[in-house]
Amino acid sequence: MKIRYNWRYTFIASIFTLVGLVILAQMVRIQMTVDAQGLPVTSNMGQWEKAASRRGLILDRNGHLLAGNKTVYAVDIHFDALDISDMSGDPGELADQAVSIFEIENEYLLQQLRQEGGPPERTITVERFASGEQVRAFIDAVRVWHGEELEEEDQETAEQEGDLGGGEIDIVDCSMIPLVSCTPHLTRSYPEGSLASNMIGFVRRDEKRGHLGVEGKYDTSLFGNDRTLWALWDPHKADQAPDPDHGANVILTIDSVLQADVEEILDAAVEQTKSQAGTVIVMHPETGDILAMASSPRADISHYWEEEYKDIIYNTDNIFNYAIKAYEPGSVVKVLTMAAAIDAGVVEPDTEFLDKGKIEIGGVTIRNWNEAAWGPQTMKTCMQHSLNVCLVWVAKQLESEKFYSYFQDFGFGQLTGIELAGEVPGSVKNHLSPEYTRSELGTNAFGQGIEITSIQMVKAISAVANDGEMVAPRIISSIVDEGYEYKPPRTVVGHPISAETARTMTEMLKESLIEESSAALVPGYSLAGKTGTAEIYIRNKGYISELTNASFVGWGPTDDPKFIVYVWLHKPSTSIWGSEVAAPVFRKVVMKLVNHMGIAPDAVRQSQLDE
Amino acid sequence: MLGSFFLVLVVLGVLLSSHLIISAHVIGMGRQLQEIKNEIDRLVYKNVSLRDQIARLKRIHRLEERAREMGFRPPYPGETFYVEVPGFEEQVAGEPPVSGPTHAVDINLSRKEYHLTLWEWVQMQLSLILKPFEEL
Repeated sequence: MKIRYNWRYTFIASIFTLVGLVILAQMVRIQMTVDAQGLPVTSNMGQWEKAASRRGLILDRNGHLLAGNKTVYAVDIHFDALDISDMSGDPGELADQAVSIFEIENEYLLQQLRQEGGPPERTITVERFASGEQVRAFIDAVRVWHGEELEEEDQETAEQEGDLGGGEIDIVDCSMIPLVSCTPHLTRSYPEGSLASNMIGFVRRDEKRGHLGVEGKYDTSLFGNDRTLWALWDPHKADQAPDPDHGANVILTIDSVLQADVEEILDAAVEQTKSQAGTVIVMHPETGDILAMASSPRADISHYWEEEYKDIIYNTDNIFNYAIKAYEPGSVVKVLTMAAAIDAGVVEPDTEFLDKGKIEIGGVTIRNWNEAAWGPQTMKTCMQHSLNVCLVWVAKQLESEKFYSYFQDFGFGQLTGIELAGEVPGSVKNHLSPEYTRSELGTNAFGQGIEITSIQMVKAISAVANDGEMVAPRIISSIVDEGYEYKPPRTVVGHPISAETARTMTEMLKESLIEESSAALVPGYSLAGKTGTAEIYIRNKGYISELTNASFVGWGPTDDPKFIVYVWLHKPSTSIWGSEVAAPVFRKVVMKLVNHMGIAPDAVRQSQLDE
Repeated sequence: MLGSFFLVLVVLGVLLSSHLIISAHVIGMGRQLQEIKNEIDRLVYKNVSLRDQIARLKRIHRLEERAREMGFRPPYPGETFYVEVPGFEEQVAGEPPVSGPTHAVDINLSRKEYHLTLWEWVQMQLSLILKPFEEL
């Protein structure tokens, strides 16, 4: 039996021996002939891998996307891959196609592409932010250039994509065409275009850093860090592969629908009044939430690099967002002057004053807006008729120390802390400042000679609308990072006046609004407010009566305020008066607001309370 | 004698084949892993593009235009009817959705076994088996 099967063992042994010998021979060959230094070390074999991280999203309070990301491509043409013998077309034609499809305007690149005999650099990046549609069109053009015929199906698909308005979202694969490479990467996208652009700011495509607005202020939180690491091929080391480091999502307090309405109203007002610019802010007086903040002109931040937006973006005068630009506001400041005087006990709403049409302070004579003498007045009628002379008298009763102490408490000359890059503190002198003259107490009392921002005014007015409690305006509702949410708390920044003074002022301004500016009234709703018209100072020319800042500040419903609305129109031409140009804007905004916020008219709310 | 030699050869052959099969499997898995990573990247890019496309389709001005085309218009204050609903509490403007923490897969990748070659694992197992005898 042993002998019978012996040949089988021998055969198997021979095969194993042969295999063993081959392995041994191969080992010896590698050891002896191949340069071991040149061989890759197996423990280090791998490749550089980038974990694509996205920049954090910016959403409105209802989760509506305002700033997101989109996939674009870096497109390279490898002219060195052109096989001259097999070439179906002229390289110049290919370059022309690239210029046409990618709309290349860069002079240097054009020069390179149009050089005879092809560009000197053999690989040229023709576009770094090409859309999927552009890349697909270019691939088709290359295929045609190669002499291929496009199938009808391809053309039909392209037409259907056009109908959908979005284009195909599948990632483009250029690997089948050796001449072209397209590397996908993420870039910032602003689907709403210019909506709320003054608040959002923008990200420069080439450097991926945020500029202006929330993008600038929260750049480090929003920034998505593209991690590039050496990833080993060994599947045991799979856990060492880089994880993406996405930026945090920022949720704003604004309501996009309301923002769109307010922007529409402001744009129309700027056009109708032939103003140079303007801003409207809507804030909730209790929470400090900014519900809308429109600024005109605005840039479409998805095309920030275009020539028409150059003046809005690249300037040192902060015209990107007029809400945080300092200006002389005029008579809207009278609300705070009067509030300070009543709070200090210097005057009462019924305090009498004889208006003689002019008053002297610090050697300067100040007159009323119409230069008329209004005769016997009370503080209520002073506000009703917006009398400069009366308010100068009130400021004189208050005296400089108290007057500026109140202004400081209202936050003038200080940043509000709103989460927007580029906020300025404005400029407010006081009796201790160098070069201060006493006449400034008079002019400051009716909002001339001081520079404050609209957002500072809204913050200060929150004290009047909110029973003396002044809240910090905020634009960030929350920040969400890796599943954790941070909600900035409501911040009370002071009580510059008492609750009683606040209620008295609201009542005074509710009554005075009916006579001062009926254009601001909304039927069915009790509103308080004040107009403002400030002359603009021009260097070497002084104050010019024809050039004004027209403003309006108002809030309501007066028994339970749900909104503060601030309007500023810069250099209106059809009328210089706040009561004529800014007040109607306030009215239109409030009409939208009450519907959008579901605020019932006074009568309805009162009947509910009675029941 | 010859039988023992063949037995050793067979055992060696089995071990070598196993090593070869496992190595091939590991390389295959490595390639699969790379493909999965590429697929993840592709999905991330696609997902981002989809979200952007949805946002563009939901643009405020676009929706408003569509609504107007369909015959809707914004209401004026006087046109709104307010109805009192007993027990209804006023809702503050909608809070944005907050994505919860992602579910982590419970795999302890730091375990020693995941980072060993087959030979190292065999050595480790052998040392574990032999340990009681060494103590004796």
